[in-house]
Amino acid sequence: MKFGYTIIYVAQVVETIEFYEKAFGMTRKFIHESHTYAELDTGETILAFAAHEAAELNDLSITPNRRDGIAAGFEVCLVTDNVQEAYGHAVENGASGVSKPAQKPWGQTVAYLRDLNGCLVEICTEIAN
Amino acid sequence: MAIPASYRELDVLLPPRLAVETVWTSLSDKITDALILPDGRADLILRFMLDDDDRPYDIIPIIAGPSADYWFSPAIPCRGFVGLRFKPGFGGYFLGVDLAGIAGRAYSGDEALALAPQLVALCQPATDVESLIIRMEQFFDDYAEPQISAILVRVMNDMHLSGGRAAIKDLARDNGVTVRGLHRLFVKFVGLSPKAFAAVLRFHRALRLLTRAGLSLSHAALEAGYADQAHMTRDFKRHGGFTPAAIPPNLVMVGLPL
Repeated sequence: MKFGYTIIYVAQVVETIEFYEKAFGMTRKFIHESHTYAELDTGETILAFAAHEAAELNDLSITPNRRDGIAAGFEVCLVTDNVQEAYGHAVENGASGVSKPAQKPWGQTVAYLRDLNGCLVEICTEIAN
Repeated sequence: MAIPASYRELDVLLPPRLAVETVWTSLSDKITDALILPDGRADLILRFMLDDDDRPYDIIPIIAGPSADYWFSPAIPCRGFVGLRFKPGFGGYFLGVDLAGIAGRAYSGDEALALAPQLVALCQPATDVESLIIRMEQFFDDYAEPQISAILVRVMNDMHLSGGRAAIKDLARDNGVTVRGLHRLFVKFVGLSPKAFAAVLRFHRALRLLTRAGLSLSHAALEAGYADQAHMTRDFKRHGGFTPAAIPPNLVMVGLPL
């Protein structure tokens, strides 16, 4: 068994991909023509988005993520050299700040935001060994 | 008790597409009564007899109110139906009736015409079933797109996504409405209470988990959101008239899209 994907169910797949490109500088891997599934180019472990309809099609019961609601208990964590700059760029492009970049005692710089769907996104520096 | 397999949902896109979930046809079974499961939606139905040349006659309208309870359609040879299922929240506007007042009931013939006299235009003679379907599809062409509460649409969406599991008080809070306010919206537009509507969705999902996903009774009860298996059994008897361990074969399960 290996970890292949994280798939987040969202109301608008294409809008979400565009948001991640604009706010976090990610790039799309592909968007299915039905606009119900898309992947970001995140390397071997893929961050993907699927439409709510896809959850329903598979008879899943889910709580939709919502920008004005309480965040679900998970986060997407993006690693960068310059957290300050990435945080500012994300906020300028529609992400809402949760906590500004702060240095942790173990040397890591960490900031938290909410994406357009209300999902938690952490931006941090690599942990020094 | 067998269920006729002749129920069929047609693949049509109608203006105003927002308001209509599906157009369906069905032919009555010759021998056994048909079990009709509740879906929380209102239907406009044309019932007719078919002659030897498959020509419909004795066409009468039926208004089926939103229901949380099952009922039986009697076995009558050569009796057919064309139905139009409204999306929850929209039926009252198109039929011009108060859905809460007709919930859990079906009105046929003169009773239906007393509620909605305009339906008389649907009952003219027809050459074949296909033309009845077209007549039904075109009947609401001139109606304006209905305006219903955006909050209600969002809550119904969340209810569907959770398979009827989300707590009403959480749905109300997340969508900026009081529990009482949400109750009023549901009764006014859907014709059922939020609790009754959610219970129907949960019942249908549990049915799908048992029949399509192949879950065991205990796992299905847990995943569908019932307190325990006994709770699921009580709900199945109430909404379907059968137990989870004895689901009728060839059960007609309507599509309940988002």
